[in-house]
Amino acid sequence: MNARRFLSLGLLLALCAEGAWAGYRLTGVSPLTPAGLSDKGSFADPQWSPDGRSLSYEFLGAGGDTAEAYTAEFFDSGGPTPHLGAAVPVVAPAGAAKDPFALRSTTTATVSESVAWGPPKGKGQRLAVAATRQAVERGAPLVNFDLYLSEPGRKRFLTTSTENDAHPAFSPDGEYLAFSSGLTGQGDVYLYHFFADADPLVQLTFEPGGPELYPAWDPGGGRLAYVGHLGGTDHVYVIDDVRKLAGERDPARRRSLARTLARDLTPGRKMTCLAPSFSPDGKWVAFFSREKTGEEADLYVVSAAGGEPRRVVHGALPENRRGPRWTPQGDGFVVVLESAEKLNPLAWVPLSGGPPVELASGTQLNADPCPKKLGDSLYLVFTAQGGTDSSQKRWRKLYWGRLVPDRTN
Amino acid sequence: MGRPLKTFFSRLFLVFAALLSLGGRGLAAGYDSLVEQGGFYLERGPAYGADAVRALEAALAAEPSRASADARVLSALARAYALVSRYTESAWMLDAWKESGGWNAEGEALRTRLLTESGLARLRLVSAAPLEPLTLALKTAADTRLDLAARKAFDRLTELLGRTRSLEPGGLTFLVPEGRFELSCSGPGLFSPRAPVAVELTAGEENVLRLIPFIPARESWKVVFANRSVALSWPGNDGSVYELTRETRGKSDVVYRGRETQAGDEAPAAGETASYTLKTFDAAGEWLAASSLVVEGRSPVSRLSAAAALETDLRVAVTWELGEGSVDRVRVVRRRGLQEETLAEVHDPARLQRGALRDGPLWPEGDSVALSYRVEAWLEDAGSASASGTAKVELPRRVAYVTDVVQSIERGAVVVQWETFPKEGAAQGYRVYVQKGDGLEGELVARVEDPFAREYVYDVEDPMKASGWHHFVVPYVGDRVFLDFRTLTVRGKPPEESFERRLARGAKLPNVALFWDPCEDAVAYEVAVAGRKEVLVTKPYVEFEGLQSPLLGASHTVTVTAVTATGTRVELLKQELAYRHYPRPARKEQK
Repeated sequence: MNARRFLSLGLLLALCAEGAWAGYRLTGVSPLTPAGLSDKGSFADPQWSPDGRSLSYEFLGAGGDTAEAYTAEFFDSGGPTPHLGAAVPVVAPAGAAKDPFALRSTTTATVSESVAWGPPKGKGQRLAVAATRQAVERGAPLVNFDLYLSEPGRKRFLTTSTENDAHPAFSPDGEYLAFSSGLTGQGDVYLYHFFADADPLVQLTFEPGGPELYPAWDPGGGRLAYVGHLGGTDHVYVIDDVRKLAGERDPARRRSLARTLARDLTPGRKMTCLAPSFSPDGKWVAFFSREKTGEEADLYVVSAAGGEPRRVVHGALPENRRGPRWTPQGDGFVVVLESAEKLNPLAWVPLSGGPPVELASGTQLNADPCPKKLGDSLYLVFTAQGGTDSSQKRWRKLYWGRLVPDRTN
Repeated sequence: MGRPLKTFFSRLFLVFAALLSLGGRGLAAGYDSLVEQGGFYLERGPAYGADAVRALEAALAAEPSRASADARVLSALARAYALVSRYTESAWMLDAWKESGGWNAEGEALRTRLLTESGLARLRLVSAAPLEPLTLALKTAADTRLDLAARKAFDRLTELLGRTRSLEPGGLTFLVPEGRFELSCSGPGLFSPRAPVAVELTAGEENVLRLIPFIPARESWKVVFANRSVALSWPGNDGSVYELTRETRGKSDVVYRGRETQAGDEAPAAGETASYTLKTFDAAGEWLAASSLVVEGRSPVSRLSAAAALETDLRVAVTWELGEGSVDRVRVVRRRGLQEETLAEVHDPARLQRGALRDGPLWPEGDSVALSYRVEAWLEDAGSASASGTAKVELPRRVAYVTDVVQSIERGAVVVQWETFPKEGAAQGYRVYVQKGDGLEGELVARVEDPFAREYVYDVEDPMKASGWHHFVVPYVGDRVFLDFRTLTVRGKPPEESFERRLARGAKLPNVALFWDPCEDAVAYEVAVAGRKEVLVTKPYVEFEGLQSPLLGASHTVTVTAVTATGTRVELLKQELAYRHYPRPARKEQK
């Protein structure tokens, strides 16, 4: 036996001694309570800022009619429990005075949702939300969302149409903000080009048969995935060269070009596809899919280059605002399994397609898992309807925990 | 209906509505109408922002003083400017509004919006003193991209910056989109920055750029040149600290740092310049102002005047005066005939521009001597003198001898006066002898150290007795004396009777009689006294008369040479005659 073979055997023995890789387990789960917000209200859609220093979330106060997006600084000093700083509304309140610039919301009772973090700008963070300018009252028949930008030294609405604009997503370089808009009547994917020479709005999809929604960028910023309606069902599409498409100034030619650049990643699929998301390496596109609304959803991945989608988990709870949550390493997903018996547990699902590994969180009716790698640690924030041992289950709370590699002996 | 046409009619309707709202007062009405118009357009939203600005600016122009105190106008203008992306002017209007009174929550909201939420940064220019006129220009850096709103704001700002303005010490704030820019500032009163300045602006933050006024003005500097130095002074303020820097040939040196308002420095060389920069700081070290001045090195001295005068002590006073210019040394050369001699090289700065020296004493010679003094101004390393001047003096003839000596008694003192040949001649001095009796040895009374002396007075105890004394005056130069040989007579005829008989009959005896053994082949004898007096005698005998004066203070060689019939000359005798031979001291011994 030569030395190399001896070393290999040693390494194998060492691995065996540690146990086989079995996914993750969740530790240290505890609630996160932003300062300055009532403890009576529900949280939703927590999102990490790109630098991991802040969290965004939506909060529906007990006495409020509308939900609002907030941010709060995230502090983890190495103690047992991190904490959040003061809650800061993303949309600047109008205050008592009239907004002379028509760039603020005209009321304090706005609705804001779908926080999209952009690349950091200067000394601060850049983010966009879909928000209302007008006061929104309970049961209002018509709510108009516009896109609102918040960055250091700048807060303003970007869009002004009377139709809804939603699902903002920054391109990785921050040059574009992709979003869905009802500007043309049925929902199309648009770009807001921050450095446009003239009109910053660039329509990317033109299909008359149905809406195109939930744009999602690939990490390289060259491709854009979205959900498009085709033949009575929703498919996942990808535009392979979105910058080329955006660079075409003539709308007619752009319309023509869009047909050649947009690819159906789920051709022939009968099931409805929900919001897509690119894997961190840009090779895969993941999406939830189900037969009908209200039925169980499955999580699929498909090669971004095209191919047959592969189901990685059955019976998952789809996201409301965005596509499936990849782990930062891209080795799988953190999902919520739809289980009435287990009250929707969190689970890690390997990309390879192995069985989901439930993440014991001590919480119930979980939702919105959002992992983030900070330093050497892998954090997870999510919302839940309280701990299993808690009697207070009325309000959906924010929780956090650490995902640690799990090995079986 | 096409969109543009639609807009046109929409606007027409609004103008009409505006007219109605003014209650028939008409557009041509005054201030109040214009303000109302502005308010009306303002209510219509951003599309009418330009109309609102136009109307409100017209109101401002119509009654500036009233408008500047009218919160209605100022607030409306602030909003109108903001609607047309003229954010800086909007902020200025807010400031004016705040100062004029009537400030309210709406103003505060406007201000907050502008300063912290509009995506604009504040570029604040400050100066310690007013700068007017000041022209500014802003250019985006190559790596700065402006979005649509920022470009619009930047275009409006560029128009604003293009107008000449003044910068008061309170400062001026411009609202600039976020990014990196090059700011160019120009104006006659501006010292710095002269080159474009790179500024990086972050939205919502303030960036302060201090402009340095050109103070003090160049005209207020005082520059005083010495030969190779320069003294600079400037008007100052209490508490200020100054730093004076000189730059020559690309090298920069701090010449002075302190609270004084003056400093001295080496002057630049001819043909060179020195650029002085004066920076003024306050007590805390903040750079407040600066000024600069270029000092040109002065040309070499081109004019030089020289003068020379012979003084009574036979010294020559040489003086010179240089014109404007630089000089490193002065050289004084004396020329005597063909011979030149450098008398001095003057480097002392105190003596360069105007100086003097004394040459001598210069003892006279047989003839008068022309002397010229050339004074030259030199720069070091120069190949030739940059300027020169020449002055001449004539050294008088030396006194050949004293011709007449007159003595008198005046007020108890002996007054000895004498004449010389030549009359205006000079000597180093004059020895005055007195002979207090016939046949007595003369005594030296004084050495009169005055080249041109013609009189000597001295006191005596017995003037009556002194009246019988006999005085001799012998001019001298160094060890040499100059005697009057005219009184010396040499007679070669042997006496026919003895001295005794001559005395007996009262005849005068010669001073000295000299006789020698005859030479067989001699047909004559040549007798010479001190080379000055010669006589040819046939007998070996001569008598000397008038030896008193020539022998005073000196000795003379008497030479007797035999001259044969063939002309051969043979020296027979050489005898030193000195005063001691007269009045024959041996005679007393003979007694």
